[in-house]
Amino acid sequence: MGLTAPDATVRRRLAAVIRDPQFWVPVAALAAGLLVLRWVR
Amino acid sequence: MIAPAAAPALASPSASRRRGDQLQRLGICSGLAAGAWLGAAEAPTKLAVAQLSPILVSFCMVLGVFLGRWSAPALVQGTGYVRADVRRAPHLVMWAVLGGCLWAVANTLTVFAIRDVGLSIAFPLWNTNSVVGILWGVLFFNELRASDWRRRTAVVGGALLMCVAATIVAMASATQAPAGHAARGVIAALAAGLLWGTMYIPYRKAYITGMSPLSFLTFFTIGELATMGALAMSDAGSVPALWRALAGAHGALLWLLLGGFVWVVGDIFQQYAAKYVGISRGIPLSNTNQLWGLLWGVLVFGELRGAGVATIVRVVGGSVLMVLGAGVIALAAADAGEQEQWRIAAAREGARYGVDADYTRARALGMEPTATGGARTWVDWSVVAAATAVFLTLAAVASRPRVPVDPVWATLLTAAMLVLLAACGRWLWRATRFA
Repeated sequence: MGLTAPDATVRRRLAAVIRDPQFWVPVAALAAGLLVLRWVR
Repeated sequence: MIAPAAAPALASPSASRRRGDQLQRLGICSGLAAGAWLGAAEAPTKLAVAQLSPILVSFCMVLGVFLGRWSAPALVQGTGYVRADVRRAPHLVMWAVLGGCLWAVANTLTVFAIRDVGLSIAFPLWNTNSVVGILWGVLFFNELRASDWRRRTAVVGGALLMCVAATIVAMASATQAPAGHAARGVIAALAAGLLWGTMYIPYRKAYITGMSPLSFLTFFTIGELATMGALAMSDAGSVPALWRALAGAHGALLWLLLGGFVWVVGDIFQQYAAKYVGISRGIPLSNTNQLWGLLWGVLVFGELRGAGVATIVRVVGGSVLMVLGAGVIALAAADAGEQEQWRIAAAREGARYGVDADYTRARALGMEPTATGGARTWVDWSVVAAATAVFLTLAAVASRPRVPVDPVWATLLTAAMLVLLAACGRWLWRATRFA
């Protein structure tokens, strides 16, 4: 089954998020925060 | 005042510059209003006398925040406006949820930081979020670029001055002694500062793209509630155990949810500050919340009654320093060169995600790219009615607070907050229609 136009747009935008280097900064901060939280509890 | 008409009305560079300067002043006013409301958010929670775990307290506040963040956009702009915003930039939903997760983890870390090193050390450590925010603002969003050295020095110096002031005030108003896990507490507080500073990346990302703060917060709060719910459930042990804990605390729930609601009002202003003056100025201005928290604690709840002269001197000195720091930042609004750099960052963002350039440009000026209806539907009124019903139900079972309160100061501070709400809210409405 081929992709519809909205599907393709969503996929393109998702890919843009993943390729955006700025996206990985908050993701890394969140991972670090969860690790610290696990350690301090 | 320039009305929020169609964007083409500002085609001339001079009109666009005047509009930019007006929005700078509006953003600074929003940052100061945010400080007042965020600082007061702890006041209702002080009225909750039940012995609840700190994580349960945070969870209940987030429930109030959730209700506020869904009902305020429904009331002000309508859910149709939010849906239209999301259609323009759907990728920002993911950023909003991520931001909410960051907030919830940071907030929980502060609970443990206070437990391990006390408020006096923990508070200034997580206030370093302003320095983290300045770093991300410069690196990712062209903030403080192409501005003269005096403005750059004022913003960075003002933020550092406020960190020093926060240290002095927090040490003077400390109520809890360190419990012997210094390194753990310091790392928890620093991590909270890092997360709270980094949380502004999604904020700024959304606002330079053009999304309305009220639309962004509707999705931000999903990440916030989901993460806080997971943490509260993990703390309680199971869903039934969490439910039992909530049921056992029914008398305190109104005050906790009310605290969350007050927080939402402050946070909305904080979002407009981040949108119109950027994160490097918006975060320090919002951090004046410590000053307002102190006013509530000292004047309404009598927290420093019987304190020595040295403590009073530190509190007054630290507060004056904080006002000075905020004043210096407020006077260092972005000039035309820096605002041009923001436009470059916004255009880059729009190109990366394929967002309509007219939408991004119009929203950066607090305008609508096309005419919007703004009519409320039954969905909007249902959301507002449901939130109101929750508060009324909790009010019916709420316990009377047993904490002594100074009614005169409580009235005066509440009046000051309402004046700020009315003045800044009216200005935002008239100038931007909360775009």
